[in-house]
Amino acid sequence: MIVMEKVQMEKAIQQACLRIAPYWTLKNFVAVNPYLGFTSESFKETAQKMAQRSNVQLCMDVNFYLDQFEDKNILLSDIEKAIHKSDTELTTNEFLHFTKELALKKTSEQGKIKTIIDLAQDISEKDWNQFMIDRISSWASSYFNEFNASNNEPFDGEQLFQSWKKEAEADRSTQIMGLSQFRIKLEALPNDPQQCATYILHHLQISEDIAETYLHSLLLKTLGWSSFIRGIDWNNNLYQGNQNNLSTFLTIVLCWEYCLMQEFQPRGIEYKWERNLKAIANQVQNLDSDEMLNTKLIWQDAYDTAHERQLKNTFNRTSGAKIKKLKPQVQQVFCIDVRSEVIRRHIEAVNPQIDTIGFAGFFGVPINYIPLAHEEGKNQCPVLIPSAVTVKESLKDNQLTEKAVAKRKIRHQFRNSITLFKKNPVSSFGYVSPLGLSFLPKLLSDTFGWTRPIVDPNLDGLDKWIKDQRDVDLSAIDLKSQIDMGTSILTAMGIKSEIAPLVVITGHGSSSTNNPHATGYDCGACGGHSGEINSLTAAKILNNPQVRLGIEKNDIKIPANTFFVAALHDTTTDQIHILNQGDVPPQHLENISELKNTFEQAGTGCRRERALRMNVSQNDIDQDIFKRAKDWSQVRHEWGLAGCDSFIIAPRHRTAEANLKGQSFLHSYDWKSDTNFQILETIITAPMVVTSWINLQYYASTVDNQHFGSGNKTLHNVTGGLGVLEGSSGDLRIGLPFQSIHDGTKLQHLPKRLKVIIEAPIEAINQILDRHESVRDLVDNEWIVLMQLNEEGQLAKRYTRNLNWENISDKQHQTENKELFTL
Amino acid sequence: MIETILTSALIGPSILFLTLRLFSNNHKNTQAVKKTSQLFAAINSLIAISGLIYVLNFHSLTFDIGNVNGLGFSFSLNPLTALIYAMVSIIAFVVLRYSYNYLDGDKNQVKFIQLISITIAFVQFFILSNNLLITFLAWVATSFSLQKLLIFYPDRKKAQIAAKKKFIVARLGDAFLFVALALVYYTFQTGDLSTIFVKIETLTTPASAALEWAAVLLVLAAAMKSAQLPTHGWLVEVMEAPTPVSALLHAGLLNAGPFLIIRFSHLFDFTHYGSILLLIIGAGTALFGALVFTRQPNIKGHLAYSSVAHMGFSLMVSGMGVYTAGLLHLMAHSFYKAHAFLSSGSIVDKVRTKNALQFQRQGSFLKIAGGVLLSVALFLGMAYFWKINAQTPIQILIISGIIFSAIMSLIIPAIDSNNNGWSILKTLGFAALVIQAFFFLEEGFRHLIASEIPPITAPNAATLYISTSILAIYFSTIVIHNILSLKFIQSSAFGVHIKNGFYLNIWFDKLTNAIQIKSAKQ
Repeated sequence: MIVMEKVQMEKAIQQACLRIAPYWTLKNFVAVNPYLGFTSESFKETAQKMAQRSNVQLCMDVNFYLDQFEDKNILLSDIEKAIHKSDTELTTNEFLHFTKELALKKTSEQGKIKTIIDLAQDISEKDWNQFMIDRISSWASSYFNEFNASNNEPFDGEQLFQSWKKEAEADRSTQIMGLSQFRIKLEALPNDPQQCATYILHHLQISEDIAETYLHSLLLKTLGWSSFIRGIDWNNNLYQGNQNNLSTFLTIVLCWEYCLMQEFQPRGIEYKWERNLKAIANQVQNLDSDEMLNTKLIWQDAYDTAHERQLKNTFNRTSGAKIKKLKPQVQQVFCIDVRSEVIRRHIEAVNPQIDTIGFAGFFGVPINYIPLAHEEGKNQCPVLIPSAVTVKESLKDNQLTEKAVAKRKIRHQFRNSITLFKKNPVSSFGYVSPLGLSFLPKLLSDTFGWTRPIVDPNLDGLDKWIKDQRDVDLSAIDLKSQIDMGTSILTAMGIKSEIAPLVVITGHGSSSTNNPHATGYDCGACGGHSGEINSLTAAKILNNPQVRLGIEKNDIKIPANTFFVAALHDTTTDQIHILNQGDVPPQHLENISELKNTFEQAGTGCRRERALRMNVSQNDIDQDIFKRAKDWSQVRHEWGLAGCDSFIIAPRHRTAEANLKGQSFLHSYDWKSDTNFQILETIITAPMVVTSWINLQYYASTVDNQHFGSGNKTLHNVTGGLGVLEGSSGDLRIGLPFQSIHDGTKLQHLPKRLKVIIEAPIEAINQILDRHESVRDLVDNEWIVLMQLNEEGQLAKRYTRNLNWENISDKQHQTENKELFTL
Repeated sequence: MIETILTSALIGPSILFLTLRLFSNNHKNTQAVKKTSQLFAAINSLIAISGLIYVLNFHSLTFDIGNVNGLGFSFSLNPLTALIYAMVSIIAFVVLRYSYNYLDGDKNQVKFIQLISITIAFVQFFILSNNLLITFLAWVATSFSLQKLLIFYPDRKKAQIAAKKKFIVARLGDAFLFVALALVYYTFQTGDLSTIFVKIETLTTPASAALEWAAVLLVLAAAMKSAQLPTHGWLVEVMEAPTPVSALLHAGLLNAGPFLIIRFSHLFDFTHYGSILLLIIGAGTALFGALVFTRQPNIKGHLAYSSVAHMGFSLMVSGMGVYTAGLLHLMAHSFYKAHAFLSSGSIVDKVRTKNALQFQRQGSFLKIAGGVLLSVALFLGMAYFWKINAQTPIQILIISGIIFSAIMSLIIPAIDSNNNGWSILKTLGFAALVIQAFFFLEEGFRHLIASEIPPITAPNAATLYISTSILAIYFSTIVIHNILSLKFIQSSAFGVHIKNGFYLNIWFDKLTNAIQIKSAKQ
């Protein structure tokens, strides 16, 4: 066995760490592609590796596909295509028979790669994996605690590794549970994480060919915490900071491996480990051996092919022709979010004079936003990029701002005193005895939804009237930057040639109560926050006369009477609120009130449509939906982005006639006015990546909620204020709760990979792909499917691989399933 | 006759809850069961609250059928049982309403609502029971229906472990209770609680060994029921069942322990050792729980250990003979904890506002001294107002002392910090309110349930000695945490031991073979 050099070890550690996708905590729960570390490999290979390393599934259970086949959502022709693409030699009929046989078999539950903990588990028939996860999780929850001001982590001032090591050395749990050597052996290990890792890897005789596999398998054991720590590294990469946290964390799991090896030495673990090393090396070579998985992969392909076919039908049904209308009176910009599609359709139906536009919901302003009286800001921009400018919350009047800040501080200090009183040992008795009864009215009013258990964080410590006075302080952004931002916003939105008298910039946010995952329903482009501030900022920049002068110098003419309205779409209730009402010039007041009427009507229609997907009383849809936002026991206040399956980059008129059912991200784009395809490049490298993240987040939470979802919401137990556990202990649970994708009887998100449909010349798309390897990986490795819309608005071509495209055949040989094969 | 009809209305709702079980557990019935449970819960609360108003304004009600040696079907609504019944009915209403949407879509929602309803019914039987037999049966029944709720998701391994631990503790508790009640029955030759308590009051001889044992065993049974040391392990793992179960358990079922003690307060007043044991177990658990809960990083674990502490506190003050304080604490804790569990998802909202504040202690000697002085002045002023003086029973003084310690830990950190003057003033005002509320409620509850509990008598030497030590320990804990801000507990191995609850639960895990993998062969 060739043991690695130090350099090789470091490289392997780094590779393993990069396999893990970051996790954003509950205070801004942004969607992330959980397979981020695998995008440079094919979907198939990833599925095989993930299954081997930790029994992570990338496909549904085989019965799901058989049901889809029976329901004719998958046609024989789809299967044929998928088989044709794959390397199976079975005929379609044989394949179907084979699948049916497989469906009767039981799947194995363990990942095939075994680590020392697994071996120890086999030897002693004790669940050491679970035990280790609980111990690590307990330490990590305290160490990373974002909630408790009074730090309750025993070794809290220490560095990550030292903190864990000291705690583990003091923790008697291991000893009590029968690991008598654990603490002694741990104490003997080096205190420096790098040295420690090197020592252990050396000791365990990990060779280079299996190192990444082995180390990644270890990280997958505590996938939740690994992902959380990878998130820290991710942010530190954007905002300069230490990026070795995950490799340090990996050392912690390695220590467990080492200590268990020592513990079980008398029971012959070393011999087993040596044999196991060979087994791993063998497994790494034979990825392709899992028949069940390979079959499911073909089915998943067939399922995606079926989806392509359905999309083609959708586009064929619509003419996609541009209906020439008068100069638009209102242009309303929405986030590309799938939920915008529904409300846009309803707004256009109510008032055809409104042109709606799809654009990334942070509206091109990557801000760090500091709320009143806060010391630190939050980054309200896509998590792929760092925030660039600072925006402070302020009120219209300076004096009022100061007053509000002072009041908020006092209230927070007061509340903090009470919290300390409530949480300190012993004094908690003095809190509960005299004050506990006061929770009776609160209990009832929260039950009826009259109050919120905790004040909305955006209003917390502020008076109610502040809502109408809210403004943003842009003094930290100089005029030139504002002009640049304004110019690029208008250019990228594609409205620079024709700007309507009213331009409504509509951010979105979701309202829910007592929902740990609430921020996951907010705007992902705004970094998991409501888009309110971004839209206010964009509107304020564009309404500034000085900025407009500067923009004019960049050859964009904003009509003098044009006003930019900032608005917020509440995706729970489908109400649209106007945020800068106070700034509206008199000549627009009438238009604005008309606009409000439109919003109201469109909202009603939108709720009717969405109600079909929800378990609401059909008698009083509006009230029922409004109640959801305030109901502390509600686990499905809205469906969020569940169902998202396509991203359409084209002018709105291509999709305006179609009902896309809130499943499509829509980015307005007209390639003819995009010189050098710069805008397209931005869309493909940023929004497209983000939509694929969201799609794969939902995908992963659907196909394997155990690993990449957070399980049952009714069991959620917020830990460290940053994430949830399912139940009393265990790993940090990442991804979406089961309730977010399933309504109790059926899935509300179906596992389809994102279909990106672009209306642009193939060469332009190819050039962009060629320039950006990471994006090209996504399409080449089948993480997303790329399709082209031709000049007639029909789906014409489909990307295959290596910058090649194939024609999408017009022939509809959709053979009836029954004729050939009956299940 | 009229009284019989009136009183039968009291157990009606509980019986209605039981009938929910007649629905079979399928999807078709979901809406019907959900709606019916709401209706029953509303009726239940209405009757309970009317009952409370009636009893407080007129007189206690008793319902008695099939009385053989006081072991028939008998219930009593007196100020004590009426208060607790009203409280449980409100908690029941809230929990059932919460479950309406919270478990929407769960294929076993019908079963869930049925189990919750049945559990509530048994708890209510237990509260209203007026004889030894019903008390025992209802006690056992609650624990069996709770058991089913704990393993509502039977595939969860951790749920099974918690349920296993709970099962062991509960059966032990049942055994203790059975023997205790049998001894009481043997002594008085009747099962009727009212009769027994009257008889105790008229006894002039010292307590017999049987009664002493009965009291001790009652204490042990209560300790088991309320997750007292060292049997608390199951309670801190109950989050393996949906949140409403935790709310109901922490706000409803745990109370059975302190309630049992308060219901039998005459016996404890009469006997010697039971109270002392109660004092020791309660005080120990309260301190243990209070230290451990602050260090739990997950919200439900935090709340669970806090319940352990509060139950301990309630038992402790009952052990001192101040049953009113025990009752007040029990009720206050119920509403507080039900709310805390049901709103536990909101904690993220708090994290989101955390940045608005950079709180810092200054460690200034002058400010700390000022804080101490202010606390003393404020407290003495209020105490004077409420006529607390040398004639006040020593137990009340001790409990007041604990409240005073708490007030110090409210005032001192506020003053010794970078806090603004206004917020300090607000804190002081709040402190005044807390003290006022304490004395007011203390007095109020005494007034309310005076008929059901013995008056406070001078403590015996042992009780006095232990109580004073408790005050000293609690006071020092506050001092260590808030005045000296000693970091040694925080940053040392000791902190690890505290966080792990001194490994008591790990030992329990080991005893129950928690991490054993069931091999396929078995």
